[in-house]
Amino acid sequence: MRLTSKVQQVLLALSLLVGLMTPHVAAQCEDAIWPIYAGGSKGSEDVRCFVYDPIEQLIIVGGVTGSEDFAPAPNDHGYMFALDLSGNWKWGNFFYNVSYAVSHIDGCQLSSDGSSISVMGLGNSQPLLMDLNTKDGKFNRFISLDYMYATADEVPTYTTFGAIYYDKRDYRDYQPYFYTSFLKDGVMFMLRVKDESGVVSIDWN
Amino acid sequence: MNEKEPHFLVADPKQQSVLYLIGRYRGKGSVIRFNKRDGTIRWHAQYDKMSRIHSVSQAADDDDLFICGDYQPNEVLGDTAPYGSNVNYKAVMARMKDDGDISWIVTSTGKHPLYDGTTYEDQDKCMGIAYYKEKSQVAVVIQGKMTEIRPSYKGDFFDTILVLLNEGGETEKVVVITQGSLKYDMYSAKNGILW
Repeated sequence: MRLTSKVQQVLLALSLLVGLMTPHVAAQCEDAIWPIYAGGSKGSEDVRCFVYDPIEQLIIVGGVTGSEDFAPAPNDHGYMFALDLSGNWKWGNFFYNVSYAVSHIDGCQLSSDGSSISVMGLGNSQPLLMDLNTKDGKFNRFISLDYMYATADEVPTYTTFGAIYYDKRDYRDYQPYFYTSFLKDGVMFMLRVKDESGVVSIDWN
Repeated sequence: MNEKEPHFLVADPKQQSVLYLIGRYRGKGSVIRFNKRDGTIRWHAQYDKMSRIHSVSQAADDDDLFICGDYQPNEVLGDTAPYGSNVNYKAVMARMKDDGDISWIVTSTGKHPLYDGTTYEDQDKCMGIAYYKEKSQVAVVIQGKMTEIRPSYKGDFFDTILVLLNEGGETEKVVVITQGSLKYDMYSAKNGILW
């Protein structure tokens, strides 16, 4: 009985100790120390998107990585992650369509109402327009711009630099529009994409 | 010289009907103001002394654009990609109004620690600019090689240089972040600074 009592006392003491330590450890996690490192051991990461979301109070970072111990595979992958102002990791994502990865994140900007982040990149060598929740990094919209006259012999080369703006409520017709610009075979395109009730169309270019 | 790099599409905080397209056009730093309704261009400002624009900043309810980038003076003479240590860059910062007028433009560069005019040239790029209207200050991040402000272990490596300007473009404070004795480059992200 005495031995059991001793064991119970030790277990109680340990549980109290753990109970007391838990909030302390949590508090230490809140006090993250800058600088924050994110990436693979090759250090093969480019940052091409860096914004502050004042609503969620998050610093959002995106770009391209080729590090096999950071990305899911050793080819180029676009990445995004969010930190709070203390440097604590809030979310981080790589992005896949059904058959391909988003290979580049080239730029980003908060949407017109500041409630989400618009992201421009490349996937399957085609320009992508995306809109993400800043709170958790999940997709609201994913639009791939495919060249309708592409053939096996005629495959356009796109170069994106990150120009994107998502106006969620146009001043004239109150509809949402994406604005973007990129190069197709060295020629610069500017275009407006209408995003009405899930039906996507190019309004002008 | 027909390089094009559309980097940023930003709204005019005071006018809902227009956007700015900012980046590089015809080989020069460019700001294009256009109508959202049909894409027609209202004006196009082109910088002869800024080859690329890497960052833009605006304050809410303000007319001004703060932009920064780099000027590559010898590009027309053959300094093209891939860009090595012998290519000359200067960091450039500018303030402009919503009618395309430029209030001021400042070039900032130091001497490369190993400068010899052939193998090593001065290499400084402004990669980020952030305007804090309430404090009347402009924060700038430069990716550069400046022997004047790197205290020791001088070499052919990029440092991160933070510059605080007043609204008139005059320097108030400079801080350099180096890797000390570690010999590798620090690269700054485009638009890589915020208040």
